[in-house]
Amino acid sequence: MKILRIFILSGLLLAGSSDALSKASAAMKAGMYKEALGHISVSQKSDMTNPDIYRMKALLHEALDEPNHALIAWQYCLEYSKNENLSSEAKVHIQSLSQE
Amino acid sequence: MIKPFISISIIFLFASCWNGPAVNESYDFTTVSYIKIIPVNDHAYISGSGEMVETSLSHSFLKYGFNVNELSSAFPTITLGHGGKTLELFCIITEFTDSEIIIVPYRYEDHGSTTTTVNQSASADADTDNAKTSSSTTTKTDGGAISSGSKVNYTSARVGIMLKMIDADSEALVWSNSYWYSSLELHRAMEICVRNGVNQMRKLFQ
Repeated sequence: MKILRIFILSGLLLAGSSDALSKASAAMKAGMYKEALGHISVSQKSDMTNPDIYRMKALLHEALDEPNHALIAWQYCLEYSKNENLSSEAKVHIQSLSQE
Repeated sequence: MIKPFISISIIFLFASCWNGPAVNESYDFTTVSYIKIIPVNDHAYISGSGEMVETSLSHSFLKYGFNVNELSSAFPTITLGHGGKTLELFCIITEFTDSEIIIVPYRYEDHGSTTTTVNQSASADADTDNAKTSSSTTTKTDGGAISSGSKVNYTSARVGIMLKMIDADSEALVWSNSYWYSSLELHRAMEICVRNGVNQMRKLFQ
């Protein structure tokens, strides 16, 4: 008797999105900003309107000397933010980056 | 096409809300010859922060094309024109945070998973001509959750300063403003914070 077992696992997107932000956080702490940005892009697929993630992204772009990308991320952060402090921070950064 | 329009609208929307400096309107800035940078005191929690900000001020003035003199016996001085007046630039460090922990709450969609198991068996007896085969398939589907939440953290730095300029002769306060900036790195937060201040000051002398 011959028994063949085939396991097909699909839809493992859970691991993709929830782990991505943890990986981004770890990469940021290690100073690996480019890698952190890659993980943030994955995590944003399931949380497109999170202003805190846009803040992370913007700060990373600034650290990587990418002011244009940072400016766009801060604008999205401001658009989605309902927190006064976060909105204020986004405005300060947009103002500063617009001067460059 | 819409994105640039939204971006420009946002910039103009808050540009009007931007905290501008306090300026003595009657003061003639074209008569200023020198700006003396007064030594900056350390922030209460970080020693050396005063010197860092002071150096950053000189650096920013130089970067914007000003003539900066740093004599060992005197305060760093910016030379401007021939009006004869001297302004004293005071800087107070209002915030100097090396690592502030930022919590990022987020949600993610659990799409679940599907597992398919296929069992196959085959048998052939010696005294029969036909071989028997059978197979069965089992599929288990985990629907997952509609949304789940979690949080991560990282650290960022924040620097805040207050700048003011006083006329050395009359001791009148002629200009003041406050600035702050955040960044993943302390030196960047400090540099941009100071640069934004100097950028606004230089417009007085153009």
